[in-house]
Amino acid sequence: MNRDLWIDRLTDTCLGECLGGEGPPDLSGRILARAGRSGRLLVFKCAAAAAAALLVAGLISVLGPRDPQERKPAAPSYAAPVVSGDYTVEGDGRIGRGAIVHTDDGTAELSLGGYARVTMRPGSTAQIAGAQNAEEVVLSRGDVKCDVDAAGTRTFAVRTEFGTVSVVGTRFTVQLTGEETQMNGRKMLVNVLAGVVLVTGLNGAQSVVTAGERRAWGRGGARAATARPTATALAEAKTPLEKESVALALQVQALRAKQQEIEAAILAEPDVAAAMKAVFDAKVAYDAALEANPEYADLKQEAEQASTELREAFRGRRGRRGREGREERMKKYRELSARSREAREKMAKLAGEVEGLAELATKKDEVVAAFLTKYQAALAANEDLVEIKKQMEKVDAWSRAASEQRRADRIQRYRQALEERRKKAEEAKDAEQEGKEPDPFGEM
Amino acid sequence: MRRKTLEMLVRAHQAEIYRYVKYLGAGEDLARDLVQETFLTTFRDSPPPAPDDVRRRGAWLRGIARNLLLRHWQREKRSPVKINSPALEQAEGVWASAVPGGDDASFYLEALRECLKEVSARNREILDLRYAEKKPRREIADALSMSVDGIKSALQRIRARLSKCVQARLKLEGA
Repeated sequence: MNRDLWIDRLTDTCLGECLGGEGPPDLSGRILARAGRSGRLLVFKCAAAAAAALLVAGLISVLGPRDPQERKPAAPSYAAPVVSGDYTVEGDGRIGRGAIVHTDDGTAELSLGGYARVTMRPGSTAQIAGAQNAEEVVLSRGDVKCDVDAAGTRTFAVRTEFGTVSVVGTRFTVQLTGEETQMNGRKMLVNVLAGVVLVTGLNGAQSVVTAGERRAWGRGGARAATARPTATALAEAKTPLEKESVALALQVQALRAKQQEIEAAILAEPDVAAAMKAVFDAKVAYDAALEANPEYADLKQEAEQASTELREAFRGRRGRRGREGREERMKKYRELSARSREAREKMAKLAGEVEGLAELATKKDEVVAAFLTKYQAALAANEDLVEIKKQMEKVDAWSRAASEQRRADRIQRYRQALEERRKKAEEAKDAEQEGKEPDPFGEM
Repeated sequence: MRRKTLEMLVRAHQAEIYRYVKYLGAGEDLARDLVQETFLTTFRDSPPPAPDDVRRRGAWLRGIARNLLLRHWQREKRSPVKINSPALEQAEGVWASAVPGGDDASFYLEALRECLKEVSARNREILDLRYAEKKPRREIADALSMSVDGIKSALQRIRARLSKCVQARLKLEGA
């Protein structure tokens, strides 16, 4: 292969990533786990060699219990935040707690703690916050879709200017609508796709949103907001595929309503409701203990102030152009980002030092685990829910088939469009000309 | 090597090594395996210590990945193209000159994204079918009423122009 072929190969690889989304996977967790295993294997081999040598010497008594430290498994590493897709990061570009991630035209995916996946839609801004097993995202613009694995005592929350959406294993979306300057038009939309979330409003009022439900929060609190397919939509559908899509959406809507009804009934069962209340109480007690520390409150204010200034600085970026403007903005981003990060790091450090907080955290974890166990056991035992799940799976299968059909239609449209173009034969010939050396920045 | 150092090394270079081995011709699954083996080799087999300079460290890791890939192909007795040690050295030369030092090819990707905006609608259709829809050349040829060879040469031509555009942009950015 000559040099040109290698350059071609490089472009080919990068095109796969740019257009096909074949980005590099995050293998750090797997590599570190394997490194941990190979470390332990080495310990085992050494111990086996020593035992063999001693056996030869006739010291069979060596086969007694080994040092417990030797057998102790290595602590699993906690996955650091990972961002993939089309995004920019404020400040020094480092991905970590405190990092503020923006998307413009593309989407980005955040993987937090290995159990929460947050898809940032175009035009979104989110800050990575929280702590290990209590991951959080602070959404200041746009919308995010969250997919959280339910397991153990891990929690996840999305904070916005309207309140906090806390979950213990679900899929949901949070969307901020309207401009930040609009007092009345702006609101937060929460759409729960599976499971259940707890929304705490600015006034402290808490609401439970269950699967299939979609609700909006404004400055005054919760409002109903549902946008669901209707019989009118079915009448307006033109093609058979569209008609079938709408009919299926109506069916899904009915299934979700039924599912929601069952889940609400399960949540209202005395033992599940008591477990959920214990979760809320434990969270409130934990937050209150933190907020009661004056130093923590000051740091929180400082971090929020820096984040607000950062958002304002980011909003103003479109009005100023040129290299100098960009450098000036980057300098400001870095300063504000460092301020915010420093305050949050101090907050995290301080949280470990607040008296009695560790006990509250343990209690919170325990009650969350107890609630999850009860709730999931009740869901699994409900035969109607199992049936709904089966029907939903059928709908998913149909959706995949419909997606394939749409793809085939698209190729068909390409073919038709090309046929029309072929009538303009000269154009096609011009495009095929290879001799012409184009301006590298001109049309290709 | 300490576990912490390994973690730092993985986070800083895994994307670069993944792209590099794919560029050398590894498929997706093989690329994943090679990335893991490259870093585990630095941890288990105690090769010479990692250089401090990020650029040299990247080259050091690419060298390990290259050797692992070559050994894999020798073991399997097949490679997607006729590749031997000198060919891989040449590939490294192209990578080192095209991808700015210490970078994981993200500048190249960024420049490529910009250049893609300049591609004509017709060429973009071909690229989308090939790279986004992952259609084989035969299907693209059927969809666009062209011959398979026509699609092949069109793709080569578009990639060559994109490569030139990327190099021009990188040169401009570097200046």
